[in-house]
Amino acid sequence: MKKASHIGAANRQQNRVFALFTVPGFLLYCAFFITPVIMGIYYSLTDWDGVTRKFNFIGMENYGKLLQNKQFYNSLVFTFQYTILLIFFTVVLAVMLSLLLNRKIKGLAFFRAMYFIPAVLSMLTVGLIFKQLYYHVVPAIGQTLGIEALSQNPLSNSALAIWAILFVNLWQGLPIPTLLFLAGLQGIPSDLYEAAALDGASAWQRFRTITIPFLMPVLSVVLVLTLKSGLMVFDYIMSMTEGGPGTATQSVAYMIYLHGFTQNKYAYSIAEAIVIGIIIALISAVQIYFTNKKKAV
Amino acid sequence: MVGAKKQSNLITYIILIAGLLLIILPLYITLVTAFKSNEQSSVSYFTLPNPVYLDSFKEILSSERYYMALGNTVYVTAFVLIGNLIIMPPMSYALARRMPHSRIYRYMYFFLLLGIFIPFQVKMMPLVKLLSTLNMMNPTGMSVLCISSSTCESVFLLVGYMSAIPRDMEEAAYIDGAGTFLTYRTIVFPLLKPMLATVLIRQGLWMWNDFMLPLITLNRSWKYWTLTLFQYNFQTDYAVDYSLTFATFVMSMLPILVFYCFMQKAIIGGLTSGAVKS
Amino acid sequence: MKLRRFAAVLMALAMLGAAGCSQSETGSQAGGDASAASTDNGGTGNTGASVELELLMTKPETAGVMEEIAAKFCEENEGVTINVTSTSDGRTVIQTRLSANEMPDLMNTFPLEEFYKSMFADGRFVDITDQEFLNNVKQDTLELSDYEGSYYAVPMSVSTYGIYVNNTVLKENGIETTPTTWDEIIAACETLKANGVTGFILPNQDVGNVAQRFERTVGIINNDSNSEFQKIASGEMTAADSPTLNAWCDYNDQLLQYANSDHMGMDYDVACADFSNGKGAFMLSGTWMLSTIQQNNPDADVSLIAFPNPTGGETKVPINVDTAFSVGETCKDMDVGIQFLSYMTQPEIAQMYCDVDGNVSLIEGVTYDIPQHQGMLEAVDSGNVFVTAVNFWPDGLREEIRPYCQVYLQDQNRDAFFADAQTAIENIYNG
Repeated sequence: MKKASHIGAANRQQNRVFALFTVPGFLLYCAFFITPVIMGIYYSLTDWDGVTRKFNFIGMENYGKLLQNKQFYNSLVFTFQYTILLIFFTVVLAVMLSLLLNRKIKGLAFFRAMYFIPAVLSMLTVGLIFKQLYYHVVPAIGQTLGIEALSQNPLSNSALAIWAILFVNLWQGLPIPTLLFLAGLQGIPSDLYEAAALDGASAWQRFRTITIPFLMPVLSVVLVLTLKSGLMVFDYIMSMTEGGPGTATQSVAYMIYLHGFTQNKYAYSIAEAIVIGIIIALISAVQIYFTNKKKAV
Repeated sequence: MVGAKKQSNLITYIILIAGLLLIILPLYITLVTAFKSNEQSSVSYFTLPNPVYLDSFKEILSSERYYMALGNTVYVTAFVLIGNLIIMPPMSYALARRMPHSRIYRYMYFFLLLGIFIPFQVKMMPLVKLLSTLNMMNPTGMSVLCISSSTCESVFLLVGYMSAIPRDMEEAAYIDGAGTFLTYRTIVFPLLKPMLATVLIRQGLWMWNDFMLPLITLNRSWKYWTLTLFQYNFQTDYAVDYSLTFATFVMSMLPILVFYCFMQKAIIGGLTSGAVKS
Repeated sequence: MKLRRFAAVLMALAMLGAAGCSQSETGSQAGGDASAASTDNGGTGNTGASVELELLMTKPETAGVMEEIAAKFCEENEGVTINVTSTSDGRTVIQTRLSANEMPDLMNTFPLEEFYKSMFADGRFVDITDQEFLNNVKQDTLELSDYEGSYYAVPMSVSTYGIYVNNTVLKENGIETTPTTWDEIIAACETLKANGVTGFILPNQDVGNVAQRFERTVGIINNDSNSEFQKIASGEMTAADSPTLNAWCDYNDQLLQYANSDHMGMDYDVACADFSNGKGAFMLSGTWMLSTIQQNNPDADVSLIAFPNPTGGETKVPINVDTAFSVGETCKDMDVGIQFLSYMTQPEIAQMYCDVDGNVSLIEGVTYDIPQHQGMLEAVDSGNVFVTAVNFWPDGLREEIRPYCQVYLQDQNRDAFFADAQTAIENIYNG
């Protein structure tokens, strides 16, 4: 009896402290995150051009319009292509690099440190640097080596531009996933590998049955983060191609920017952003559901 | 057996060194171009500068705006990191532990997660309106804003990590009569450190390098500019001058690179010390 | 352990930052006190109190000279401080400032463009119709800047658009007289091509530049392109039948034969540098480019000629008000704001500005002493000009159509271009 009330008091105390822990962050989030989002949703139901003081409430008109717009679907297709490529290469290359950086070799610390450098730089700066390199340096290399495709600025080629942007994104975006995977690898007890080797498992079998399951939790984090950065790619497009040539690299985020800030279609551009947000949320939900299920198995 | 190992080590080295070259080459070209005059660059992009051309750096270093931007960037980054450090871990702890029992906390968690999916453009202009009403269109205001924007991602990563940590140690502390706060400080916080390091490193890099938020909230005066904004504005003023363009690249990257050199061990260690519990 | 070290470094940095900030705050406070004190002591300040105004320049290339002018103004007017802010992303900055209801006290505007007109309509700027200093502006060009009979901006200069010619390149290839007609230009390009020299430098990676070229030259081909596009939008005409769009394609087909081989990969900055250094003979651009050319190569021998109508029709020079100044409705001190506008229209100050800006000045008494642009000055003075198309096109048309223009320059596929142009025009005109 006495013990129960003691626990009850402790629980009450814990509840109070937990509430104290959550409330400040939650309030901040509501004030500076949710409030503007709600205001944004409201604007998406108006015809505001982002300039004038007066605007009218027009209901779902913007949404109806954008679902009929060819440009919107074109941008979606590019963005999906880009995101799929980005996720694929990020996961494959980051796992590969992390395996290499997990080997017991000399100079390991040096390699790890160097490989992280691109991640500390700003996307805008990196984009601008590569824009210069693609114009001046890549054609020079392509011409000396006699490679037809690289003897022109790759950003000016509709087919190559997406790869050129992807390359920059990977150059800068790989280090953090690599280190996260590396962390996952280090959590694998080495006796597991030894036992498997004694049982005669091949390197691939060991990778599939031991390494991959241990990397699953990291994978789910990496997927969510890469998915979001792929679907919202903006800085690289802005600094390297401005969506060109033509509309070949017009990502959704860049299209929203164009509509909102160069064409006086502000409310419409918010409606676009909201639709994209819903799409991202749906994909993420599906993906989290599946990775969680895999984890449980 | 030993031979095979040697051979595979050799392959590892070859791949790693190839990757290293790929990382270093763009940085090398940036650096040497900054130290060449325009005429020197037009001859070749790869050679070392001869003679070394310093005018571009003199021009940047004599600009009061550069130092102001550097100060601002340090200020906002540190502000956001400290805010994160104080607010996010206890919040995530409470959420992770209360979620299984309390519907309110569960809803709250999903409500916080929702933010991850909301594109920045939705709230971009309303944010400006909000901040200006509150008289917060300055580095401090932007930092407060960034702390709240980082809530979703921080909570997502920390709660996920926390849920995987067994409760044994906390329970033991409670049984010993420790209060919740003491338990948090002495047991939970240290356990969270690896993931907290990941969160803070990501936040810090984001803050340091962000462009869009400073562009829309800190455009009132150059006294508010951050380094990316300085670089953007400075470079577009003198776009034709390659040497100067690349020198601004170098000077806007230099502080973070120096910081990284000193903190490299802690950063790499922080990110790899088992940030994701298996 | 590691985290603690990290946190320690962080704290130190935060303190550093905070120190820096508080320092700058006290600095500005001290400044404020000092200026307040000076007016208290002297009491001779024009306005009697100290004011601090912000001047926003969305033309970063002239921010430097505006800082000089502002400093001069402040020197002559005790207690006044004018801070010049400049940005290269003007539209974004202005839009966020509008949203925040914190417009700058003073700013440069483009009174002919839709975006600015909608702000005039909205009362964001002070009406200066009755101000006497408007008399300092050449009267026949002043009318360009009126908005429904009122003035909200004082125009300082107009830009003109045409073809920059690198005379050195022409001379080196034995072309002694500067070509003026379309056929002469093409003939010159043939000669250059035979010598392996680039005729036109076209920065076609730069979609903004492509858009501008489209807009200016479509205007030259047909001064009233807006009516034609309206017909396309309403279904009276198809884009494929549009004489203007066809003429645009025709002339580009021709020019591309003489263009630099990497035109699709080249942006404006590179093009400008290459042109300045004689890597090509011609470049389409406007008066604002001269200062950049001279920065690249102080000895460049260039001149700007009119872009001859490639259809053989009448040639007029497109102009646009390039610099104008307005006072924001929320200006902290209207009198000082108006006074600054008046100051800008004084001949010696306008001269200072004009010398850097390079555009044709609209202020009486300013001598336009730029030999490279003499041809353009004559066109403006004789009235052989028209207001460029963007001022009549609905807002956003240029941005909507520009990717398709870029694609055309890449593949010269007319059918695709007309189809896309049709959609773009319909999208914009029909909402």
